[in-house]
Amino acid sequence: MQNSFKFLTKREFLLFVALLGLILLGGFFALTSGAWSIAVKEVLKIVMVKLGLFSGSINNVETTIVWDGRLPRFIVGLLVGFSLGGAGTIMQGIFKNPMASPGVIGIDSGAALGAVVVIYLGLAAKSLFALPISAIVVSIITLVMVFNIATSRGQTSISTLLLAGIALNFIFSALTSFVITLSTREFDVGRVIVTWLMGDLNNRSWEHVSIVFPTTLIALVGTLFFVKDLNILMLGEETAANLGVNIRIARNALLFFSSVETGGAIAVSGVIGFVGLVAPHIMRSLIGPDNKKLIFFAGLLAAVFVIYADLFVRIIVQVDLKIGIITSLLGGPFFLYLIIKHRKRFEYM
Amino acid sequence: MKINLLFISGLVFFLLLVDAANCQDSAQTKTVTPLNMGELKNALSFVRGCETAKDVWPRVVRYGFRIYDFKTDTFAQEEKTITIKKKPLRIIPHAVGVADILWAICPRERLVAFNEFSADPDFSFISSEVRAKGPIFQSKHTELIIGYQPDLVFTVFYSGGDFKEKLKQAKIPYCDLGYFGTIESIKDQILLIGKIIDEEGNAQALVKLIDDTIMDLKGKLPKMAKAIRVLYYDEGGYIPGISSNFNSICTIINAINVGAEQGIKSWSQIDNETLLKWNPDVIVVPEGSNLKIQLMSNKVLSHAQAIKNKKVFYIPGVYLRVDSQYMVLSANLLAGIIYAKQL
Repeated sequence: MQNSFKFLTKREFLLFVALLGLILLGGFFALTSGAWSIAVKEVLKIVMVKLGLFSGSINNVETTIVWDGRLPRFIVGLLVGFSLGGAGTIMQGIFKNPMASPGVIGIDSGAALGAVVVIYLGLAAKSLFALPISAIVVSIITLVMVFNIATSRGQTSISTLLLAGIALNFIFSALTSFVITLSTREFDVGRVIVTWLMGDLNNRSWEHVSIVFPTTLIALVGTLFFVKDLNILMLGEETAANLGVNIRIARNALLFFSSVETGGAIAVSGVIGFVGLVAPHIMRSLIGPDNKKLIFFAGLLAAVFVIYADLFVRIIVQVDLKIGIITSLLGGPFFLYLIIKHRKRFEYM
Repeated sequence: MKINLLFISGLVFFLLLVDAANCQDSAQTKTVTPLNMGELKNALSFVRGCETAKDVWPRVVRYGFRIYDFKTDTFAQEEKTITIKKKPLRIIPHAVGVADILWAICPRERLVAFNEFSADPDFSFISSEVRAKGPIFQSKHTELIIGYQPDLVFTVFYSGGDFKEKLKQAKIPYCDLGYFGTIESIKDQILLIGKIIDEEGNAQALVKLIDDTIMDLKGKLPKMAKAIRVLYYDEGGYIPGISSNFNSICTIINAINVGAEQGIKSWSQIDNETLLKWNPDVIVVPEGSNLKIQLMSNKVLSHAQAIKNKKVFYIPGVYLRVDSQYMVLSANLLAGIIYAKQL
């Protein structure tokens, strides 16, 4: 089969089409399903009219539901998944560790702490932007802290970075637990915090898109700028240095973009586990270790996970089950299956 | 490093402050209620009935212990028996609702301590009185409770098993009370507590006062062609259902709790689309949040009846958490809010 994406192999092209198809199908279900019954024809008409591809009269209420309710929720899911997949790919590449994810250096737990504190203080209830800002800023603060701890005389040690990350993870998790304990007194606040920690895309709006879209875009562009260096870094630091890579700049920049992606995603969706870990693995086993492609493919697969987990929670289960629970419950066993099946293949890293 | 951290921390703090300051809601206008709130609160806080004390000890009391299973959204009931050896004179309530009831029917010198929630205005209508009387303990401080040497502790079905075990080990009698989320179950609890502490006359008088007040309140409500559909919207989008005290409050004032109407049992989270579909006449949100502004500015909800008619109201949390005789007070306030034009 010939394809116009010359840089992709036939297998990769088919995979790309399949992922894109799954996302579009997910989008179709996301837009046509919900509490308010709207005919599929009407939904399509609304989208066409809104995109300026068709002119005609559309129902005001239904348009608001589709365009301002369901569509932003779907887009947030797509961007969150793409960000988590991309961030996971970067982390696994930098640390040359199949278990690496943004959580390893404490970014997840830092962002979670930032969000939980804002919810507890009541600021999240006062403004839509308070929580995302806090989550993103605290995740960047975490990165700065980890780096400063791990850097000595201009050299950043990967093992110290990991250890510092683990230590900060413990500290942030303990502080988050402390805030949760405090919030149990305020039943309503405690419930919001726990819900948020389980990951949720309920009632996401264009404002949330406006938060996660720039972080995803900035991180993607930034990562692509350094993706060649990331590939070389995976060969070992000595080799990378011999090949002219400024290891310090490349690694720091990649970690920064990974933090921005993770912070942005967590800021709008809460903690969605496993996606950033599983998606790069699966894609690496299918298309190989070239990060230039892997970032896109892992991002798309992670987006598929998040979109379908949200659909599952929203349409099929319809009880108070959260998206983070689904991704971990489904992703965990699937991941175990892959590990057992491809034991040898995972050993290369 | 320090400069980086200070700069970032300062920036986030500034942004949050600016953001929060921009989003303060204007105060809600004062609510006119069918019954006078102050007089009603005072009446419900001190009730004395006819002397019916039997003063026969030890006393064996059998009662139905109803618990709500949050996992399955169902009720379970079992029969319990408590033997009180002598008239309790040093009583400790381990929950706000029980403290409210005891405050009204029990001579106050017999109440030796209160938990921290009874002293918190967000949870208790008698917080200032409780603080003035004291002492206050934190629920987790079992040692302190034992140290007060009570001769009866009123626990509730959600009090920790370890706490009850400690009381048992310390040979302190305790009475475990079941669910009291509806006005009927509250009345049952009042009568039970009255029997256990030998203040049955006062308990009966309080139940009568509740019944009379409800009748009085209902008499002052406007006759509506269609019952008003009220939805309580909590932070995080949680809605109370059939077994919630909010449902009982709505029933007292002839309103429909939309959550219960739509089949929610205890509490459930809904999305904006569902809220729009259910289309309540009135939405009440907890005071201290910015939910009113958030709901009013939400595009999806802009088509909802309550939003279009600007029928979104704040209500202090204490009125929504109530599980004692003060539920009548909550009903009175809610009536003032939803029937504002007709009263």
